[in-house]
Amino acid sequence: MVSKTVTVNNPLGIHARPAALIVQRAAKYSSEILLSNAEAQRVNGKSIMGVMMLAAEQGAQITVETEGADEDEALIALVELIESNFEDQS
Amino acid sequence: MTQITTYRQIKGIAASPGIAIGRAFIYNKEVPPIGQRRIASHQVESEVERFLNSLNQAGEEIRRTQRLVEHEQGADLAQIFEAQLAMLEDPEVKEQTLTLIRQKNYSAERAFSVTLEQMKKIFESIENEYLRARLTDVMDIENQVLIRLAGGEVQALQALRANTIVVVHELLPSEIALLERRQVKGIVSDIGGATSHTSIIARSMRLPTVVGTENGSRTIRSGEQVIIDGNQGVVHLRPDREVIRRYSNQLRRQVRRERSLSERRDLPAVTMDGKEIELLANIDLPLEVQTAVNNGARGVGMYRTEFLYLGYRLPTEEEQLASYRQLVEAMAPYPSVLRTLDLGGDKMSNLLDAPPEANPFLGWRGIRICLDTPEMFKTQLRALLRAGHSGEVQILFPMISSLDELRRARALLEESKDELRAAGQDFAPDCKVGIMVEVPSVAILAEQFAAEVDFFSLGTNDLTQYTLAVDRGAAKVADLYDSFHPAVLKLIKTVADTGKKFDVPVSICGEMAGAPLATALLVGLGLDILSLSPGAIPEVKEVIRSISLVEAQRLSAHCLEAETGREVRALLEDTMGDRLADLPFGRIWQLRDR
Repeated sequence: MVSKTVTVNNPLGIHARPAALIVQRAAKYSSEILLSNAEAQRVNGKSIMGVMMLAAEQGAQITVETEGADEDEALIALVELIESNFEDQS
Repeated sequence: MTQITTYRQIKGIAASPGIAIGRAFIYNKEVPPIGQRRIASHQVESEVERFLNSLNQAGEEIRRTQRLVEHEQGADLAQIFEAQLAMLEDPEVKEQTLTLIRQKNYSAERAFSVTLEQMKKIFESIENEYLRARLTDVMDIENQVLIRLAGGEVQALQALRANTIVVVHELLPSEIALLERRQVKGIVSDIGGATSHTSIIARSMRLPTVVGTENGSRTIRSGEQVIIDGNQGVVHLRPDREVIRRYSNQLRRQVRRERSLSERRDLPAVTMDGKEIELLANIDLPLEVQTAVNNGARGVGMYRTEFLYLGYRLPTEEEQLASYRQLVEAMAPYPSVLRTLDLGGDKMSNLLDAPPEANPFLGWRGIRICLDTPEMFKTQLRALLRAGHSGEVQILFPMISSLDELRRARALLEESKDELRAAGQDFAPDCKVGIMVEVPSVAILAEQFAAEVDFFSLGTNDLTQYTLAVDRGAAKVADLYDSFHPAVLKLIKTVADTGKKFDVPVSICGEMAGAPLATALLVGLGLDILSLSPGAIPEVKEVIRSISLVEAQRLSAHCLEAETGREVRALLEDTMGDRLADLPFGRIWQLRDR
């Protein structure tokens, strides 16, 4: 299992559209992907309902954990996506 | 209960004129009730399959709609469907539904609905108002799947057969965009008024429409013959031979008239004594651009940019640029006037943190919001300036009430140019800048403003509301709202005269500009640029070609001496009535909600 904590920078936080981007990205990997917030709420990173329920606003700390055959690639991809403010995908 | 099969009439509100004859298609979005019974164990796997199938079907439908919306309205609006698709494919939702079917023998409907119910509860408790609003998406996908599970093949709006009359409880503006115009002849809806957004778009697409039929969608059955009389606001259900004959004749005349209007679209809008009037189009949604071009618009007089801000996030500079550039290129060689973001009043974006206000029309709206959010504003200004490189763009600021605001907006425009220069981007440095005249203070001080703008655009809808202190959405005072009120006419005259004196072009872009009854009056007041709903251009041009400038000036002088709006209307009816009688949209100004 590998993990990293990142800060959400985009002004509107992880709302519907970034959440859709996260799950689309997560679906590309076979590893299990979990996201959790500072309140230790932990959700499936492949479920948009889960990701939205984190209600991560600007400045929130999100921990990404991945576990499985491609856990390193998955972790890098998701951390990059969040740190890039979801811009590269739009 | 015996089924009634005889002819009957259903009364509603005339929302878009014209006659349409066709077969009804009931567009039903109602969700059937969910049974509580448990399924037998041997049915479990077929139930699972039924659920997975309906998920797939719903997904395909959303993708199809997404492609259509993208094609008609651009990628920005289409993006909203991505979150819906992700919800539909959510592994947690799927897992839990399957568990309920397999372990508790729930029907697919019940299992899915119970699963989403839990999700909805959690959503409701989220403190972020913006995310909480996504509940509507959850409900939307729930409906999509449940309708399919009920065996109800949800017929797609875009897969309709020829000569269809769409009958619906309520039609959203986004759904109108999906109508295949070659197939759909008209619309009947239970809900809505003549001035609702859906009616406005129906008029601009020239689709005969009757709204406010209350229970039309429950009375009419799919496949039944229906005649829509969009002039009278009546729907004829199962018409007898006599009614069909009468309306077939009217329809033939209508087709002839439409054809002759469209044959005349390239004729200039010029009065009998040679005064040329410029007719431009008001554009609400990108899909109206084609109607504008078809009807011979000589440019866009007001392009509303609000639709870009209705998505899940603020549009980026590049996204805006793509959208504006598309417009500018479609309208070339004619100019396009783009109005900067005008939120507030009755339309507020979810993306802005706006406190509720007691008087939103007197509150944080238009340029006031933009000046308070300079980064958002400058993003739009940079996109507009860059679009100006592809064709002529003119920038229009809404809701200006003092020179201070104009100067601050201009300063931000200069900053935007500096930023573009620094970034090495191509843009139009000499873009013309104008302001809406919709607050009386601007009309009164028009001379002072004239020195600092390139053009004026009269927004008579708001100008009327602010001059007469009447909320245009308030039913109880609707009768007091009257753009023909002599006080409003005097303000229009002041601005038109000031424009002439200082050589600043003045256009009018309120609803009045598209009212054939008002055309002679406006020309007489000295307005030589009218910007109107693209659907109304042919009629207004016919009126212009039937009057002389001298006659129009005499008429407007009389109107300015009138004491009430009613008197003004009577004067116009007396003088112009005969010339309006033959125009299908000639009476459009009389459209009212009540």
